[in-house]
Amino acid sequence: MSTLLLSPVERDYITKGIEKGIRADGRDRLDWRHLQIRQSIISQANGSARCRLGNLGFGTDILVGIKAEIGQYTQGDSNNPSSQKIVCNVECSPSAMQEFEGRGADEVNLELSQLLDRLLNGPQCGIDFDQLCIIPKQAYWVLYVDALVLDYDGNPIDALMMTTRAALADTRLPKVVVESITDENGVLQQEFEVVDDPQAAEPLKGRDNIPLTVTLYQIGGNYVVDTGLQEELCTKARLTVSVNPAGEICGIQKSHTKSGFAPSALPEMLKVSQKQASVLFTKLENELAKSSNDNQMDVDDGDSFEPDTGSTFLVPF
Amino acid sequence: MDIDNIEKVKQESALLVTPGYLITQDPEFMRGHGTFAEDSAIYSSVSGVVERINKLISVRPFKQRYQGEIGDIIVGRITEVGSKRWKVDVNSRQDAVLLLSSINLPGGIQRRKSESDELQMRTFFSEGDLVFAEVQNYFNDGALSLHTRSIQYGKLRNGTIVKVFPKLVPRSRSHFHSLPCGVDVVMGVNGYIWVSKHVPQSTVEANAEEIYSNKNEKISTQERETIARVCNCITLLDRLFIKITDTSVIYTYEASLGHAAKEILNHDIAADLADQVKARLNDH
Repeated sequence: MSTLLLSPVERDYITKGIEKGIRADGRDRLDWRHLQIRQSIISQANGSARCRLGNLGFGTDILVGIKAEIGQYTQGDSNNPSSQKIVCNVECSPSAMQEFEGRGADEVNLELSQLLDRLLNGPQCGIDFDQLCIIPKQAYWVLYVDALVLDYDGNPIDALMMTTRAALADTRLPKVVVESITDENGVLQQEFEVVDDPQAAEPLKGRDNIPLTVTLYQIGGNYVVDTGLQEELCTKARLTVSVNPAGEICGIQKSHTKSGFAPSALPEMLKVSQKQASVLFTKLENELAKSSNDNQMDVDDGDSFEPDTGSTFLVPF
Repeated sequence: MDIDNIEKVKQESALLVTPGYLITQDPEFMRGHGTFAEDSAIYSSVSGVVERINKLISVRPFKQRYQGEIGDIIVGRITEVGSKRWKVDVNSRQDAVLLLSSINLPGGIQRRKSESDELQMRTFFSEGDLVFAEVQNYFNDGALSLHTRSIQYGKLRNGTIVKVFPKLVPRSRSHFHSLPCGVDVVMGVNGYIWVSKHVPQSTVEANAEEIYSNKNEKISTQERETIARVCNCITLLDRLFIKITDTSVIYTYEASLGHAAKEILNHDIAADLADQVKARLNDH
């Protein structure tokens, strides 16, 4: 009932430990927890993924579903093809933490939704927005990104972005056939029809360029990645850097109001997050490759699935 | 499977039920904890084991919050400071209460608590502090009343907390262990385990004035590494559902020495270590 309380002694233990480079769970400052990720777990969605960042079946657990819907062009919209084509909504489930009950999660929800929105809506996102346009100035696809935080153990931003990237990579847009008709007045009219065949659906163009984020948490005079809940409570300030696979920085956000960074520390922090991002990209890729292998094995096994009791916790979800 | 068969079943194995499982339709039985009645039939409302005492049927759940008993040794966190009392989170359904009259004042002097003590309650325990205490009594509403009237009880320092599943910590003669690796472990029956640097009992007694201090002693990198390793060992035991006792922690610790402290929680290594520990526990 008091997950958000920390005694001064614990605070001191964590801060001094980070100063010495050994964290409460034995990790170094730039060590990540174990990452598990699975794609295509919601059949009704166009794309989905679930990720867990933590050890032995516990940790921050995020589920992202993506739904593509057709939006109508309204007069006065900007011509910028990338404006508001992705609608983000993040919700923290009260089952994740007692503090999220009632209206407790509102602030976190808003913060994460806006952050995701800023990261995805715009050319920095990497997705080819032209693909989302069906008929210019008439109809286009809107991607609804809905994330649910199922379990909370620190560092939600990076986990959220990894899950979103995996879900967008998994997304298939239904095929649309556009027909041009000339009506009796000689005006060219365009109509479209959505093809109902899932085989014809196409993946998003530019999905490989979607960035990931690396969030650095400042604790004492040092910064760490991937904090647990207790470490997060000791954090004075945090910096989220989004980096694309090419290693280019696509966005920076400083949050957590308690204090700021020394400007001189920033260049180094950016360099560190660039390096950590490449670590994350490899981790994510490996994990996705592993999970697709597992899926294939499941299919081979058919109905003869027997739970392995000795290592039930290894079954990720 | 019906309750009438339960005697027969009991000889073979326990009757395991899930929420909504029909236990019996016989109207002569009474429903106890963990069950609900609908149309004179009794269903389970939790997943657990069916227990029957004469005509009373109850289900003992597998997973539940900590249920206190008098004499339990626990670790709790202060959540609120009230008049003459502290509210303490003990991983139970409701917060426990620590009365000002049930603590030892600095210096260990036995005397009546005065008004000035009431005014400086936050210098003893304030919100967020961790206490090592014993369950003294129940209140009428089921809340636990704690006390810290012993030199070994009081504020916890020099370490970090691990939260585990309460049922995995068995009640035993001692809940304070100094492990051979130089780490002190306080195993709260409520599932909060405090792992800290070893401080000899004589030093604690000599510094009786400092029992409410908020300062850590110096902890070396070596000691931190050992504490982290013990913490990870306890987490491992919790996740793999092995009883957490001083023996099982020591076995896990010894088995883990071939790996770096941070690697213990890797899935493959953890499964391997758990097998070794289970085998060793079965041998004894």
